[in-house]
Amino acid sequence: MSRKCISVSIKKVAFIFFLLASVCVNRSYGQSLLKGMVVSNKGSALKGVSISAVALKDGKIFKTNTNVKGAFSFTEFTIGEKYTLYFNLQGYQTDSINNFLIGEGDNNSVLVRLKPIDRKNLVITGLVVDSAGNPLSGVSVQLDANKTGTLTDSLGQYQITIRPDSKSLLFSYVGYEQQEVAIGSQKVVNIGLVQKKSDMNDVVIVGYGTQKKITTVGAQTTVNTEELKLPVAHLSDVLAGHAAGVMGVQRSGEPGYDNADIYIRGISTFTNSSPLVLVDGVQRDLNNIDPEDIASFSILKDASATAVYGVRGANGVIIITTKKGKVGRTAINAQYDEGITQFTKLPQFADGPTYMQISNEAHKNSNPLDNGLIYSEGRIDSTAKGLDPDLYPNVNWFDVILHRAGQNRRARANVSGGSDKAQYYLSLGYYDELGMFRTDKLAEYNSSIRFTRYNFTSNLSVRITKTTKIDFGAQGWISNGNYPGVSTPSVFHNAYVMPPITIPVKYSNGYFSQPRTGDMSNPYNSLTQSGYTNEFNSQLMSNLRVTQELDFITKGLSFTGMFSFDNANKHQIARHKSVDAYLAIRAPRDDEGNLQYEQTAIGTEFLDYNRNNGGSRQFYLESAINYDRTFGKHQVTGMILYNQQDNVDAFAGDFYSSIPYRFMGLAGRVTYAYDNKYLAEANFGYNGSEAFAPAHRFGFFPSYGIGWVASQEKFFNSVKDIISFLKFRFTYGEVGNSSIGGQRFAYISNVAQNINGYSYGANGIDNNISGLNFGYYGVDVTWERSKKFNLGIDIKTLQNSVSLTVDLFRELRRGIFLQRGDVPTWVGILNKPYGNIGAMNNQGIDATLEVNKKLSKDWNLVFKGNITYNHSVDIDDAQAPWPYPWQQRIGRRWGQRFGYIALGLFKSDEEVANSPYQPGDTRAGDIKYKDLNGDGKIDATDQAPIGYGSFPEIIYGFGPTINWKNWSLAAWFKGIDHVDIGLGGDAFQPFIYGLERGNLFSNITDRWTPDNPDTHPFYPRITEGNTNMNYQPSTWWTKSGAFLRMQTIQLNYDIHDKKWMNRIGLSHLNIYFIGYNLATISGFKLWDVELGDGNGAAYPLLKTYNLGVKMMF
Amino acid sequence: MKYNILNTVVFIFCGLVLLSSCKKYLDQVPNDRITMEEVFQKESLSEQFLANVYSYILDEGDPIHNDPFIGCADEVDFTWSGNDNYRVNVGNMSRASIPFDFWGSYYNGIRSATYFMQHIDENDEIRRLHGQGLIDQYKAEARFLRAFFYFCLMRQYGPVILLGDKVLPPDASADAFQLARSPFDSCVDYVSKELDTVAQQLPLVPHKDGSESDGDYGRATKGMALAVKARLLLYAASPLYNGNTDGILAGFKTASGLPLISNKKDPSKWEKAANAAKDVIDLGIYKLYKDPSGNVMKSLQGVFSQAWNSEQIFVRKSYGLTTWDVHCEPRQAGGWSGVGPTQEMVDAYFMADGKLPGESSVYSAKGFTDVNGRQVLNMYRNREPRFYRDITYNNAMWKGGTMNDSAAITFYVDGPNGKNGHPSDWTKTGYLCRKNVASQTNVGSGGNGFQQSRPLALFRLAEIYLDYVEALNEYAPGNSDILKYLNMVRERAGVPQYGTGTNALPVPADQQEMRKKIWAERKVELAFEGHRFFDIRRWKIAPQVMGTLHGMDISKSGDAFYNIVPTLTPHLFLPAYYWWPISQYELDRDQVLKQNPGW
Repeated sequence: MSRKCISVSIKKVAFIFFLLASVCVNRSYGQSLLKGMVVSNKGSALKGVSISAVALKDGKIFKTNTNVKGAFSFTEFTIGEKYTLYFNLQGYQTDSINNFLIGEGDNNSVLVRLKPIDRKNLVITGLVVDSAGNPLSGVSVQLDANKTGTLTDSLGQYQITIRPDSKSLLFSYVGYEQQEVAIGSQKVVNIGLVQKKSDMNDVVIVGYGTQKKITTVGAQTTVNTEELKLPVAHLSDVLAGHAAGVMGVQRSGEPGYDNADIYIRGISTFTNSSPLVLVDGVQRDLNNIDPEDIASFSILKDASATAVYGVRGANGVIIITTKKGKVGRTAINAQYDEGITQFTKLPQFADGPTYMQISNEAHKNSNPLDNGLIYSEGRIDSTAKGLDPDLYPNVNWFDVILHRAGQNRRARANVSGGSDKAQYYLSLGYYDELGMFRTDKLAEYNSSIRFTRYNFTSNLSVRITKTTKIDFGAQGWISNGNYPGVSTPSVFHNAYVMPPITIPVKYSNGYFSQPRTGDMSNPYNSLTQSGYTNEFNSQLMSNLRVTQELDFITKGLSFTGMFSFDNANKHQIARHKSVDAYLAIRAPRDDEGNLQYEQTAIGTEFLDYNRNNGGSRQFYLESAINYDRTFGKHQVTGMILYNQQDNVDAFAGDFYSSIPYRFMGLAGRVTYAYDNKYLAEANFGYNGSEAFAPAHRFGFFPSYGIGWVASQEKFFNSVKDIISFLKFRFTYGEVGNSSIGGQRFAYISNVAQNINGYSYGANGIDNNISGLNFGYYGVDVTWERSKKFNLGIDIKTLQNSVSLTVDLFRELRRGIFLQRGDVPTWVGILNKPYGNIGAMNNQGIDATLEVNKKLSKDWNLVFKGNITYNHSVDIDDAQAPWPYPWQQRIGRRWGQRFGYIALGLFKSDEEVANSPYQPGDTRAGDIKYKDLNGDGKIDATDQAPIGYGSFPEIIYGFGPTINWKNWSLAAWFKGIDHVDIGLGGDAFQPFIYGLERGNLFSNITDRWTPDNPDTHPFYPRITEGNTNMNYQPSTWWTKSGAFLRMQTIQLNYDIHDKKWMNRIGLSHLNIYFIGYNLATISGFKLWDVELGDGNGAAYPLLKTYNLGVKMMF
Repeated sequence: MKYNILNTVVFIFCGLVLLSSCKKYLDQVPNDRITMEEVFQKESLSEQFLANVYSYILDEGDPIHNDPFIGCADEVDFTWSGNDNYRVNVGNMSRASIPFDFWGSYYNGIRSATYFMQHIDENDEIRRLHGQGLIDQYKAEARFLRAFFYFCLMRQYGPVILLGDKVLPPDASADAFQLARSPFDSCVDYVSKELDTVAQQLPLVPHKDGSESDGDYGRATKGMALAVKARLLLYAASPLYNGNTDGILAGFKTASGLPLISNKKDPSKWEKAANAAKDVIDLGIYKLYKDPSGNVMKSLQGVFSQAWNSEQIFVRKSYGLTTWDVHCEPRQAGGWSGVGPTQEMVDAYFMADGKLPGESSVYSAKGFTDVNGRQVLNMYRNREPRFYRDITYNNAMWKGGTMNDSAAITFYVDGPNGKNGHPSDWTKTGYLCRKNVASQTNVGSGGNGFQQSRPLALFRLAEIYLDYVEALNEYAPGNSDILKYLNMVRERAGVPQYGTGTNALPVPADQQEMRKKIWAERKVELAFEGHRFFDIRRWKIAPQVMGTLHGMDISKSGDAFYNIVPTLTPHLFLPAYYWWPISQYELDRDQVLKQNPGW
């Protein structure tokens, strides 16, 4: 678009003489005079024409008006400069003169004829800028607040054809005050939009629809999707700490399997606490969505928001909508970034000589009678000197299996645009991550660990009539994961349990090594010589929505219907092999320097072939009638909706799981707002699931909410300077949870087949009969029911630059589906029956703080923070009562860790003898426990609550963003608290399975020894085997799991409005660096603190240094 | 516009149609699934249910992993400090953490057996095809198994909760689960009566449809019922249960104050035990296994290796035995060198002259003899055949596993099976067990060698003879059957007999002397078969024989190796160890359930 299309009606030549006669010349200081006259097309002088002249050199604007004779003059124009003149008068078409060159002498004179407006098909153009004068692109320009309109382009310019009866133009843009301009005679309407002071007209996403933010009473959180665009494969990894109310921890960094489990407002049931995730209105997986395609990400937390989801809503709902096209010119975005990944923290192990010394010590500690050593001084010495690695190996297995750095990269491109009738959004995404497992260069196949994903999204909206709109979306992704033949957890397990001194990585003669025992495998062989596994996953998601306005029935009524079909496929090919492996017999080399070998494994030289398929398909159908109308100060909305879903496991392994997973239901909502001040709403869900007995299939879940926007009250005006906005909200409702785990169709008893049987038969006859018994006792099962209370307050202060939202919540979950725990084993029931018997309460607070402060023209500061605290309390865990109060689970937090209370280490064997009896071989240097019930012995009844549990109660995140001109620097910190780590397990407890198995952490040096009777070392007396209570869960082994992580640090440089960019149609060029997980503060040093309980044998989390570029056309 | 209205109406209508059919939409589970009612209408399904009941018979073939009955007595030391036997031996066991806790598993079997008994009558298909006889037999089999499971519980836990024919419903209230244990004698009465009853119903040899059936070997027989009863009554007659007045039992009483373990001696219990054993003998269908060649060694090995032989009464197909084989084989032969008989056990074997080492003139603990170039400690010479069948000692010959040629096995610290050569695979006593080891079993490379699987005799006639003579000696010392049956065992073992045969030994002088000889015979004949664990308890000699055990000095080479030193693993016996603990879990749920003494 340009100004060329405006008709210019100057006929300079015809009036040249007139001009020459009337020009007066001013020559002083290089300045000259511009004189002129404006007349109508009939020749009469026009008074009051406003004239603006823009100097093209510096953009300076000069203004004046014509006098009664239609004459005007500018006195300060510079000779040799060009000016553009605009002529405006009500009722007349705007005219302009482009590039008028001011010459010397009296030539500088113009005569302009203005035509009266013929409003037929008038085109209005203009520029929309913000208060700082920067052009705003994507501003909606509508005629008479009608739906038809256009958007401003990337330079902030627009063009709209008005109808003869059009009265006004409505300019609206997210985050800015709407502005309506009466259409007069102007052909150019330039507008400056002012940023919104309050979010009066903001819309938020609610269950099955949207609602004006000011009128909502529920607890929702909207996540800024920009914050989710981090160099990680799975969205779930970054949610916790980014949104108030989302709790989650990430327990693995394995490519393709590093997604975190997330819970909304924590865990509030013993069964499944996972939230319902809806993508474009359909239940879909949160992971594998490209954040770039997300238009909005909302989290519904309280009952008023989730009651409409009935039996699916109790755990909260996450609603994601993907981007749609916008009216306007085609906009293209392209982005590429690439990063280097490293492990956040790797466990450190003791080296060979240390390992052997500690083994000798452990043996001596356990067998004081034995004067012999397990490993001779000579052998230790040879190992330390690295004399003969075949006979005296000293291997750090983590060095053998892991590279120090990996790689990831992302590329995206999307195109959007459209006309009034149709809009489109098309996008392609690419994600690639190369993990850090080493490979054998000689292997003919690829066993590297790698995850690649391609995403595509296409959203199309078509208005087929004035009142009918069709939205069609098709999204999908394909991913390809490549892994070694042996599973990643096994590789880590093998590296954990294989001591440094047992075998070399490989013998110098090329033999693969393997010890005799079958329960330890050479980690190198299992990583590089086991073949490979390739996983190909794909998902196709489609939805078709029809929206019909029904204003002809009654104003504000509309109908929408949607059908969706999703298909997911999983295809795994495993080609495994194993190698012949040997163990050198521990005897000196022969005369020729050869060792004797014992073959310890027979390999399968050739790759075998295993295929594994999985997949599902899902149908979803929804139809709804909506009503939304404002009568003066009364705002009413209503919604009634029917939906059903059918999900089939396409490769079900058994009969029950082959039956489609179905649910169906009705949902409804009525809201009322008076003057945006007094708010009320009611929601309900009525739905059912096939999982339950016919009599218990359907449930009714109502919720109610009220709100009061106090700042709208007149009496509030006096304090409005301090507190600009204040709103109180309260909701109560009941929601259900049907994903209760346990047996499917738990109302039906079943028979367990192919269980332990017996073999009869003599004289060569093998009469094997497989077993059969009771599988599952059917019970009158139904969903869990949750009563939820939410009290919220929204407050804005300091001219809206600080906003704070705080929600207090309380939830009573009842009827939790649990296995009966009060049945003694002597009753002989194979699988104890289930019932809706458990109960849990959950309460807490979540809050969001946002500060947005413009410090100066160039400096802008944004600070965001959020915190979630929840405390779930076990009300009934269906277990028998405990004999002692300290053992009691009821009334304690969910997941409360129990264990013994360590009093320190025994100082002498006499102290052992004089203390309560602790089973096992207990001596000086062992952990002494507290005898809580005073019965003189330590047993189960002395276990008490210790620490918190493995899942945090507090998650918080905060971070500043600083903008300076085109630069921005943003950081995000995430922390968890009220969490601890219980240490234990194979390879953590030294020599639990004997001296020949299990690595030792390098901190093994911090231990009790007779010579160094430290009172509180890390390890107590080192022993051989599982000999005493040292490694029972206790306060000794419970360490704080709290941490504060700098999750991201991001530096951006934005280039725009450069000439060279305009030439290639580039509007923005953005260069950025993202550092992910770069620093962590935690008291826990053994492994990445977020991996949690146990021995840390998991693929560690990653940190990433990422550099990228983003272009907008 | 009209089109739009139509569109809308169609949409809404669709919705309503679907809603009205919702009942059908969610009603998806077909009613032709297999149900428990159906299980008891079909022959093969009922047989599968019964097979599951049988599966609760513990596979005792792999005592390293499956049970404590060999590793936690004074017979052997299992090398591996990572296993549960080691935990028990060092005393790391409490009601919070119980290795080898079979309480729940046997009660699962008991419940299943009772349920089967109550429903098998519904099976018209079996009745039609095979007649009521097979139904009655299956019912009797289930009833036998139930009694056997009670016996297994009693030997490990003492008095138990008797459920009779009760099958408590899964949704019963917690009150219904408040049942107490019955006094041990009541349990014995109940189980022995049950066994009497089923003995009347079970066949002598497995048969089906009127003829002996090879395919049904392993099913309960009359002999099995009587054999279980014989061992049960023998245990019940023994000092642990017969007039036990140990202080630790003081509070071990029922709610009404009845002692759970009888504190009054009742000599008639021995009589009952003897009669029960005699009943098995009198069936006349079992006889001690003897190799047709008459070779004593082959006879002794054939007792175990010849499947389903005439001596075996109660046989379970065992998949654990090959694990036992590999653990018993020396490292040199690809084995794990994991089962080390103690010096105490080595010393228990008789001499070739039939006398115990301490009594015999041919015994010498010291000195060496050159045997075909091997230096053999005199202690290992002139021993009875069972010694050579059971024990691999230093410089003993071995062939099997991965060793194709016979060679001497040494346990010197630097030798091929010694402690220095491998971090874990060495015997802690300087001996290896070779009883019931199928030397053909070969760990191979990475565990894929040949596995000689075979059935395991849980009860065999030699034990019944020894049960019989022990009981008889207690209530009728001097009865001629004592010598008769004791000598039969010795005769088959190739050991001179008392008062008869070649090189006859003097008949033991009195009841006490005879008891000593019977106990000694039992220790050897039934070594490493899981009897000793219970025998030392019921005889109440465990505190004396357990504790520090001995072996050769494995951290030495040459002659220094032959010093007898305490083994590395203590074999603790605490006062509580007579019975296994009941888990805290169980006590919390059944408030009237009494914990065993000392736990």
